[in-house]
This record gives sequence, structure tokens and C-alpha cells, in this order.
Amino acid sequence: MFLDAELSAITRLVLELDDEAFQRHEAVKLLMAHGSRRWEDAIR
Amino acid sequence: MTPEQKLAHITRALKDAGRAEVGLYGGGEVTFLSIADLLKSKETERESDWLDISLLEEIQDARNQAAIGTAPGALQRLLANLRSRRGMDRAIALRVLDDDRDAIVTAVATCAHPATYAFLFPLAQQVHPLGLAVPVDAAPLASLASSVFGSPKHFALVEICRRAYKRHAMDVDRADKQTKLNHG
Repeated sequence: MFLDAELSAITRLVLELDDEAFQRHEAVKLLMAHGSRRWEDAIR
Repeated sequence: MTPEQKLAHITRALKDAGRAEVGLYGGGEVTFLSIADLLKSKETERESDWLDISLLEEIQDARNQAAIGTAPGALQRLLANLRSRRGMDRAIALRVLDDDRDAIVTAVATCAHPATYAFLFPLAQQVHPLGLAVPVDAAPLASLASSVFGSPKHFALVEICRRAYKRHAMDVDRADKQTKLNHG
């Protein structure tokens, strides 16, 4: 799954981006939209 | 021992351990797994079980929240087991985190789930959980240390810790099934 593979990269974004840019980032949007509670990004 | 006897034995043991819930179903009294045990039992490699977990977490948080003011230790129990985003939002909105520093410190020390730890971390960075189910990686912890409590970055880090825990639990379940297959 994309998010599982990119957790380290998203963690780095916390330090690299300001709040506004962080919230606009597509990976962050995906993480917050799904958290661990949806299966849409799983390849099933 | 018949299946009925086994079930009776298990439910009696769960009741004795305070890990059972009793409710009415079909006109009769039925013993259920406690919500904490049910949550644990759902930690499988199946994505659909994790959808159930997200709902059960919200139910557990709502129950613990409702007990505040009616049961001793309820605030500490809520904080130490806080799992859902909805529960976190409600805890912030109701300002249950504002006044009782001791409850927060105790909750961090006794919490077991990485998402709970990540949620409370900015409020008690010097406190270490004694029995975390899965360690939180150094990188998210370092980022949590610099994040503002309740901010989008803070909540994103909670989700990162939650997702890492889920991935670990799925791997454990998959390995467990494979072991049983190999020795079956």
C-alpha cells in the first residue's frame, strides 16, 4: 500500500514543510482522509 | 468437553476476570467479549477487521468519556485508552485535558497503543510508557516533540503511528497463520 511505504517520507514532511504546505501535500491528504480506517488505497 | 461446555467455561472465565459484557439478545441474556478483547481479536491481516476496529475504538472512547464524573478513575481510563480521532476531538472540545496533569502523566505511563501515546506525547514528553504494545519509531517521536498539540501535524503523526501499528499487527497475524499452516 502506498501509505505504508511512505510513512517515513510523510514523517519527514512534518519537519520540512510549514503548516499550510504540509496540509496541502497529497500524501498528507491521503493519510488524513483514510488514516488506518479505510481500504480504498489497498490493492484488493 | 462438548462445544457448549467449552463456551460456558470460557464465558465464566471471562466474567470472573471482568473481561465480559452481558446483554440481552433474542430475549435471552448473552455474554460477549469485552470491547478491549474484541478490539484485540480484530487485529488480523483482513482489512475489513480494521474497519470494525475503527468503529469499536470510537465506541470505547465514547463509553469512557461518558463515565467521567460517574466512576472513579474514569478520566485516567479515557486518556490511557484513547484511540479514535473522534474521541480525541471530543476530549479536546470538552477540555478534559486542561486541568488534570496527573491524569495525563499516568495515562502516558500506562497507555499501550502507539496512537494513544502519540496523541498524548506533546503534553508529557518526558514520560515514557511502561507497556507500549509496539515501540514508536524515533523519527515520529522526534517530529511529535516539535509539533503543537492538536495541530494538523500532530494528528498526522498520530495517524502515522496508528498505521505503523496496524502494519505490525497484520504482519504478526500473517506470520501466526503461516506457522499454524506449517505445523498443521
